[in-house]
Amino acid sequence: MIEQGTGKTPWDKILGEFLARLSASDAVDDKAVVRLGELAKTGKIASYQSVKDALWPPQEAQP
Amino acid sequence: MKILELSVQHVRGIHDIDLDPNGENLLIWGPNGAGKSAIVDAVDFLLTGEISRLTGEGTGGLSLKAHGPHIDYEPSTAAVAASVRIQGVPEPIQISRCMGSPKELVCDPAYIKKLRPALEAARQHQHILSRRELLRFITAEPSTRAEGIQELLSLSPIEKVRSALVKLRNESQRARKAEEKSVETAKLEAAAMAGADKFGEDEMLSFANKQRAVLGAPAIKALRGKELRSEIVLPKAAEGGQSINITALNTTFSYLQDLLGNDTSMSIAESDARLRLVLDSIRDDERKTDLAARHGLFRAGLPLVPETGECPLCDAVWPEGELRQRLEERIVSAEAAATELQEVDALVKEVKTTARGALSRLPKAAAALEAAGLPDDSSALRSWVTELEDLVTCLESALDKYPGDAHAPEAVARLVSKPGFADRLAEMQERAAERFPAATPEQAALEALTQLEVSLGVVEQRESDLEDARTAEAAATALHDCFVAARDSVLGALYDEICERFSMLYRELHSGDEGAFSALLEPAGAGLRLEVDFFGRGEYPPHALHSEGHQDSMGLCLYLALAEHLVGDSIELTVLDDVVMSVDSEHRRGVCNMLGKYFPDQQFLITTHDKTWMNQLRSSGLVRRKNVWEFYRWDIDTGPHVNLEPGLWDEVDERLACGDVSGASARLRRGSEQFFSFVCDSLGARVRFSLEGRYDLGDLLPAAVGRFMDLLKSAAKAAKSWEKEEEFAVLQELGTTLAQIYKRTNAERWPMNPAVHYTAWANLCREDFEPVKEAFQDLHGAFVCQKPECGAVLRVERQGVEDTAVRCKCGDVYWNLVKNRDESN
Repeated sequence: MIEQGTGKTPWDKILGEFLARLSASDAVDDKAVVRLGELAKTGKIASYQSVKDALWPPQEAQP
Repeated sequence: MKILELSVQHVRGIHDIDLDPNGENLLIWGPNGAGKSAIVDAVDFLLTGEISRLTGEGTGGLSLKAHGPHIDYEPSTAAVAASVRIQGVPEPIQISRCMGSPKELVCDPAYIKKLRPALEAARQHQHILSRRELLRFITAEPSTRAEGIQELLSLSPIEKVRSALVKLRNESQRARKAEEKSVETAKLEAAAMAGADKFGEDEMLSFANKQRAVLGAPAIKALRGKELRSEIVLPKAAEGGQSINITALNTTFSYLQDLLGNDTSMSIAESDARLRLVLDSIRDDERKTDLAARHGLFRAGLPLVPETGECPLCDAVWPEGELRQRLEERIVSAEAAATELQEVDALVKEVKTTARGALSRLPKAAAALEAAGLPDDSSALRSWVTELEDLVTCLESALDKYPGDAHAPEAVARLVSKPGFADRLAEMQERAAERFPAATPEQAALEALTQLEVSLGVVEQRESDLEDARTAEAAATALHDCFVAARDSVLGALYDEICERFSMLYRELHSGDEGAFSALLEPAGAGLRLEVDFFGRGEYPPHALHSEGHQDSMGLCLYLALAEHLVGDSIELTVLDDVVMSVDSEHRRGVCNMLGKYFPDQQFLITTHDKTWMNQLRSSGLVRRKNVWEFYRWDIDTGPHVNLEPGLWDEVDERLACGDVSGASARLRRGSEQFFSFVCDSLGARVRFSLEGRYDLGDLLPAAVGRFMDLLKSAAKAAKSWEKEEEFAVLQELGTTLAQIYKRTNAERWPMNPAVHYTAWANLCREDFEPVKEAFQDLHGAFVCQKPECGAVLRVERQGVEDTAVRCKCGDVYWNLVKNRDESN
């Protein structure tokens, strides 16, 4: 539901702030933040496996 | 979106009905079972294609197709149509929906886009409020409330995302802990290789440099696998053939013989016997296990109990000091059990450490024997490894698993090796020595360095893996923490706004008893905590101390605050389905005022079975007479019997037209008593007190007129003090007019008979009664706003005990009562 005057839903705002906080954090690299942003747009951010893959893509060396 | 006209056919209890609220508030009232809620269902169906009453918890077996149409009617004949108005579109829009194809909203395609926001809001069922929803917000557990409100706010994914991130964080923590154990094991193995009990960099470096000295190489300063064999010139004696370090193997055999020797065996046997005894004691008393398990929790919880006595875990309120006392008692009774549990931990550790010492050496010894061409001996050592690992596993969950089937006391005393295994070890050592005579010091040193290099390589790899696991854990933790912080920040701000509005609406409604009301709405873990002030004595859950009526008020205010914040003007229709059932009469008037004052542009569709509430809605001007519909009876063939609420004057005229003066006078008196009781209430008139609470026209009319005249005088004085001459003149004129009208009613002349009607009126002929009726009609008119769209009874506004103004709902009538202080001085 769109909040009055903002054009954004509270959920949009939560995701926006979440990604901004992640970008500012040293613990997650920028590429992973971009991938997580894509997940947020497609609604797959609620999937455990998707988030895991975004953080550590299968093609890259798993930590 | 506002409804101008509504047509319902064969839906739920309705046969066929047309309503025309024209975008204004609509009131449907009548007894239970008269079909009022069917109108709510019809509006719900029209806007969403569903009937929320037929979905959700407790509605198993119900369906729209089977239970949506009126009984005996097919879905294809059940339909709802409306003419609606939406902002930005001047002309009315026709929409309809049939239960034969409930997903299809029929309307001019040109308007679909404009209608979408309203339909989207309706799909969240944000336009209908029943008592069930009120309680869902107010009396629910925090987690259920969070679910309900988050659903309303379209925030349902929050918990799913949080769960996924918690899972990720927990998994990464487990992975890091596993890597830590791997590093520890690798270091133990490296230490064993160097003949040390534990892995210390100085000791390992010293060992390496000792071997390097034998080989004539300079000492190294750092313990790195790659440097161990640097600058070594291989001696001839060290070249070729030697594939095992016989010296290291002999050291291992000596270590194992010590473990199986009498001293160690006796020590293990003693610890094991005590361990079995303590475990039996704990297992004999199930309560003891439970107490022991919770001992740590009791101890940790005690210092966290605040002086006020709430439980720090669940916030439950305890009488002062009782929770603290209960915890102290529990700690005492758990103490003995906890001591036994601690002893178990210590004994387990003792046996486990000895077993792990063997486990750290055995794999290498087995590999050396394999390399020496002694597969049977190697296999015997590997079998022992398996048995030892099983013993360690059982010990790690000693309360549940120890001792296992293979763990007889005599077997554990010899560390689960086969009987006579010490002799077998001696034979193995001899056979290995025959194959590989003692190496030269150089050979031994080179072999030791080689083995150490491999072991250090494993340690370094494990440490690198651990570092990666830590990085992964930090990322997973950051993900979780950032999400939770973002959620709390955004929702915190959102809930603060909603809570502020909620508190303000509630204060408006309960200004008489809770004018300083405040509330707290905040995320609490996965839940949503709602606490409300209780008369300045602290904040409590809403259903802890407030009455049901107050809870209903809170539910209504919270819903309105939420809906207003999120729906805005996308759907200007709110259905209030019997929501003030347990709110008393005084506060219902507050609800009327609150709805009129703060939601003037909202269209309310209100249902109620309560006649007093119906009258209050009318007299407050919230619902105009033409929009009051009475559903007074229902039968299966016709649905509800409907009365468009007739006006008092129409009814009196009807009776007069039939020559029924007695009936007309009775109706006039009854109607006037009802009307002036609202007037007295709205103006705060002083009525002669009656213990029975029954007031007739003789009590109400003089009180209302007297109060009205006093207020007029006050308003005129105030106007004079502000030098508003024109306003002063109007008020003076009003006073004169009222006095004349009152005189025309001849009120003083009529004996105040407490019987059903004025006896004297009943004896009048029609021609004599007409002027009385007209005078009363004019008198009624003096107390209400004359604008047709308002028509509300005038009421007094107060600040504290001071009357500040007289006004109607729409504000067209407004008399200031506050004088200019400068003028007074």
